[in-house]
Amino acid sequence: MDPASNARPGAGARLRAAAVRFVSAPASPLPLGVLRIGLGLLLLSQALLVAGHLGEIYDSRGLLQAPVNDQFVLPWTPRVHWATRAFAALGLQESAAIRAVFALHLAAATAFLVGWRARLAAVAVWLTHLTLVSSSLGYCYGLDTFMRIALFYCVFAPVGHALSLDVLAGRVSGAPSFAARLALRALQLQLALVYAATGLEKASGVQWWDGEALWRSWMRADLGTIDFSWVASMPWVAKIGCWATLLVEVGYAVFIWIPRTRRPWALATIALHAGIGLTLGLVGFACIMMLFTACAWLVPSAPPLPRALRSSALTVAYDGSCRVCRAAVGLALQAGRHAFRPVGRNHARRLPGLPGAGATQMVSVDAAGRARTGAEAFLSMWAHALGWPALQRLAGLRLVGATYGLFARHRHAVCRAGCATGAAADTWAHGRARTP
Amino acid sequence: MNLGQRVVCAAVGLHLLLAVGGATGRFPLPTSAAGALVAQYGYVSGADSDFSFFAPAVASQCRATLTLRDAAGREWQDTVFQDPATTFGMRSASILDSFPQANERLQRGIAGSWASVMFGRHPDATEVDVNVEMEALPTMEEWRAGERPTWPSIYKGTFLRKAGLRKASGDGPGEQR
Repeated sequence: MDPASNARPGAGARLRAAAVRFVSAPASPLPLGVLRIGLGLLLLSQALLVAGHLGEIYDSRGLLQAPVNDQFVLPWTPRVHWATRAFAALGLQESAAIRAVFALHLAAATAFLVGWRARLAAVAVWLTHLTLVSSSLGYCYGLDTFMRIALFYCVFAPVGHALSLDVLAGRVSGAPSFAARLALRALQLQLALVYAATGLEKASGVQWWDGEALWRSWMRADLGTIDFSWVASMPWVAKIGCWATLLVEVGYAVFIWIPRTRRPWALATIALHAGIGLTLGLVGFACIMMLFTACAWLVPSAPPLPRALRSSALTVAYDGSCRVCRAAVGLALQAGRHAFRPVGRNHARRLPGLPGAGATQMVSVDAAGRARTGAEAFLSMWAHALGWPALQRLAGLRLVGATYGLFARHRHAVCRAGCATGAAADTWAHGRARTP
Repeated sequence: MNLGQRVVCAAVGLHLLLAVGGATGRFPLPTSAAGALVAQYGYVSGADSDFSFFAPAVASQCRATLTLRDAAGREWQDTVFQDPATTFGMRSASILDSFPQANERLQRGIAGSWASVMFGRHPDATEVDVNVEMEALPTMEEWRAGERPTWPSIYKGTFLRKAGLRKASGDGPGEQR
C-alpha cells in the first residue's frame, strides 16, 4: 500500500479547498429571491411615494436644476434630460419624457418584483433607477446608494431563480447553484465591508464615544420623530446607544462569520436598523439594511443533504408533471428547517402502499404511517418543513380545502405551456438528482 | 472550479477590491482615460460608495427661508420644502443637508434653482431673498444648563426675476456686492 495515499493533504491544500468551497459550493437561490422581492417592494413604494412630485424633482424648473445637478454626475451616466431631449426632437413636452421614464421604471420594478424575465427586468430597473437617481442627486440618501449597489448585483445574480414567475414558467431552475453561492458571498462580503467601514469611521469621531452623536441625531427636527430632549437629563442613554451601535457595526465584520454568533449578530443588526427607522424616520433605509442582513445571513441557503432527505420522517408524493407543484415542494425544501422526502413520479413503485398517490392530489405519509391527502397533505408538508405544527390546523378551514381542490383540478391548465411528462416530471424545483 | 467559474470569481474579487477603495475613500480619481472608465464603473456599480453615514460626526440641520417681494415693495414668504415627515419632504431636505458642503458657486446655483421655482409659483414677485441657516445645537450638558438651539445664517442672496441679473445682499458668505 502506498503510504502517500494515506497522507493528509497539507495546510495549503486544505485552505485552498476551503476557499473553493467558500465561493463555489452550490447554494439555494432562495435568499436571492427574497432579496429581489424586498428590493422590488422598496423600489415601487419609494417611486409611488414621490410620484406626485416628478415635476419638482426632474423638471428643468425643479428644486435642483439640471445644470447644477450635472456638476456631480459623470459624463456617461444616463439622465432624464437625455430622454427629454429625445422627446423634444419629436415635438413632445418635457413632462411627457419624465413620465415615460418613470413609467418604464415602474414597469421594470413590477416585472422585477414578480420575477418575470427577471434578468432582463433587473437590467431595466438598474438602468431606470440609475437614470432617476443621477438626475436628482440632491434628493438621494443612503437608501439610494444601497439600492444602486444591490441592483448592480441583481443584474448578474440568479435573483429570478426562486419565488419567481420564471420558476413557475419553467424558464429557470430553482436548483442550488454556483452562481447563487458566489452572489451570496459577494453580498456577505460587501455587507461586512459596509459595516466595518461605517463603524470604524464612527469610532474615529468623539461624538460616538460621548453620546453626542445620538443626541444630535434625535434632536434634528427633520429626522426626529419623537421628542428626545429628555435625553439631555440622562446622557447615559445616548452614550449606551452610541456604544451599542459601534459594537454592532464594527463587530459585524467578525462575528457574523462565526456560526455561533451569526444569528444573534444578525438579529442585533436588524434591531439597530429598526431603531433607526422608528426614531429617525429613515424607514426606507432601515428596510433595505434589514433586508440585506436577513437575506445574506438568515434566509436558509444550504441545500438539504441527500441523507437528510432519505432519513426524513415525512414523505410527500406530488404530481411531478405540474410546475406549480414542483415549485411549491422545492420552496418548502429550500425554506424549511426540516427536510422531507419528495416523490415526484413513479409513486406506485416508490410508495407501494399508496397506489396512485400524488397523481391527482398531494399525499403525505409521516413516520407513524399516517397518510394525509389534498390540502391536509400540503399543509402537513409546510408544517413539517417550517417546524410550525400549528399550520396543520388550517386544513380544517373549508376555504383552504376548496381552494386546494380547485387548483388541483385545474393545475395543468394553470401551467399548460410547460407541464412536463416522463423523465422531466421528476425535476422538482430543487434539482433533479436528489429525488429518491 | 472550471475556468469560467475562476474568471467570474476573479471579476467579483476585483469588484470587491474597488468597493474597499470606495469605502476607505481611496477610489481612483478620473484623471486619465483609464481612471475615468474605472470611476464610471464605480459609480454605476456603487463600488465607489463610501459609507460614512452619521460619521465621524452628525452634521447640523439647515433650513431655508425664501422671502419674496413684488414691484410695489410688498413682502411675503413661501417655501420650496415640504414636511420632512413625508418621503418627498425628507428627500428634499437632503438638498439642504448638502448645502454647507457646496462651494460658493454651487450654493448660488442651488439657491438660484429655488428662486426660479418661486418666480414660477408667484408671477407677481420681482425679487426673492434666499436665507439659509444652520442649527447650532447645544451639547447635552449645555442643554441642561438652559441653552437652546440658535440658527446662524450661512448664506444670503437676492435674485431678480430677469434671468442672469442678481442683486447681492452683501452680508454673508453667498453673493457679494
